[in-house]
Amino acid sequence: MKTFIRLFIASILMLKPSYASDLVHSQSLTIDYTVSTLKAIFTRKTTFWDGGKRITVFIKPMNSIEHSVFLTNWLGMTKYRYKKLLNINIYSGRNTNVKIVDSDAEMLLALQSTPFAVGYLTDGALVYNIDGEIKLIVVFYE
Amino acid sequence: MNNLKGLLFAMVLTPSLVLAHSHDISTFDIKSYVGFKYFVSSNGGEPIESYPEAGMLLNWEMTENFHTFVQLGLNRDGVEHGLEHLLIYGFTDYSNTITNIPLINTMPFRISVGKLKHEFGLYSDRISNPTTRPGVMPPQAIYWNALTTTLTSGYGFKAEIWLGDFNFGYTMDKYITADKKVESLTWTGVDFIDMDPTFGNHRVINVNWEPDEYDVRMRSSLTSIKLNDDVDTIQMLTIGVEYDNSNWLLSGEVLGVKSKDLSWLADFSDLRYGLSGTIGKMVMDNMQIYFNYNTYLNSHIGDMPGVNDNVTDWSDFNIGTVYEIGDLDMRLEVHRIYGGRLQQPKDWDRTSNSWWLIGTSMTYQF
Repeated sequence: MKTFIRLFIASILMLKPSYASDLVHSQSLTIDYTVSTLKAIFTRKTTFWDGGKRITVFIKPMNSIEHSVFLTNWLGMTKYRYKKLLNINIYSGRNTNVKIVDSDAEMLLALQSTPFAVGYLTDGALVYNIDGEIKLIVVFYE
Repeated sequence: MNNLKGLLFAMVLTPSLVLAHSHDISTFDIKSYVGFKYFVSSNGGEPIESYPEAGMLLNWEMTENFHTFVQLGLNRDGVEHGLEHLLIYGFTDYSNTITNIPLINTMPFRISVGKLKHEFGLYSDRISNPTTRPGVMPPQAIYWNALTTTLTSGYGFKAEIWLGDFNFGYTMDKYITADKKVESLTWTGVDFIDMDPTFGNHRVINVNWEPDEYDVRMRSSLTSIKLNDDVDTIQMLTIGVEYDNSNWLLSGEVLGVKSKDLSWLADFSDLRYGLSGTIGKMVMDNMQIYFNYNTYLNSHIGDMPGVNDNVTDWSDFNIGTVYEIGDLDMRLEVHRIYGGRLQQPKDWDRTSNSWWLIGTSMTYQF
């Protein structure tokens, strides 16, 4: 896993099956993120965005293939490692748990109704909500 | 303080009766575990620290900034010393972030009130849960089993701020005693100190460095415990460093204890200290093996009448493994121990130069 990844964030109000091609033409913001930042967010070590808003994390069921694929491709870790790190942050009483949804439809519904939430879709795209607007993130490894 | 405990129970347990599914998208979440921990030793006597473990974590997001965490657990303290110890911790916190601060931009902070977890060493906030604690039995040179409740929890408040990767915290509370006789024996080796905790006689200052960019973290804490009005205050200083990535675990911890002269830079004549080092390796995705060496040295208590060096200076070399299948966590640990008063405070005068201890645990999470 490369240490740094460049994330292109595109603002779209509604996701369509062909969103990937839409993104190429609708990039409104480019930021740098690190794998370590995403690890911290998804394991609940970090629970605030830089602007001070609380992060809500949605994931697929722990034993699902989608979850394992996400962990491998984005965070570079196994589901055992992820569970260990998550449990450490949850059982220590530091932070609240992630929320689990079963499908992409549920994921989008949950994200749409939860400001400043983040999640992912089956094909690996990161999705999050900023100010009530759903954003899609596509990753390119350098 | 009893009113506070009652309020916490009322706030948290009432909604738990109607919300019992952790997959719901709600502001309430429950995680549970059940298991058993068993030890057998070569030096006779009853098995050490063998008991069932079951627990439940209740996690309630009341608002964006107010949260309540409650962990209930059935463990040794709960079995032997009463229902109060079923509440491992239970507190409500307010957290927020101050923005637009020059140089550092943002500063998250948190204030917690209730039965708190203490910052002590690298792992004090993990050892009450069998799936997050190090090994089967955490290194006793640092995390004394007989003092687990005193070192890890108390009723009071805690304030924390984060500056970049640094976390600063201050805790003031009333510490918990599981068994006054056991606690006293563990501290001194002789049974004459009566512990009488009141609010404010336990305080902790902690400074942690836990960067997101690296798999390294460092924790330090200075704990002050006043046993009662007639006894000197005891201070405990911990410094720990851990490197934990997907393959390797390397950690080292130091514990210093002073009770006579609390000047840490001037007088070391009464200093007692513990050391612990661990090397772990993931040999499969779901299996880790580890080696740990920990030792506790006591330059002061050995001079007291009726206490000999065999029971005050001791060391423990142990090898263990953690294996996971789905939600099942299985562990096996083999110890070679010299001395060992701290592990068996009730039998502290039962000396044996060296002895074996085998520990195993099995825990299911749901």
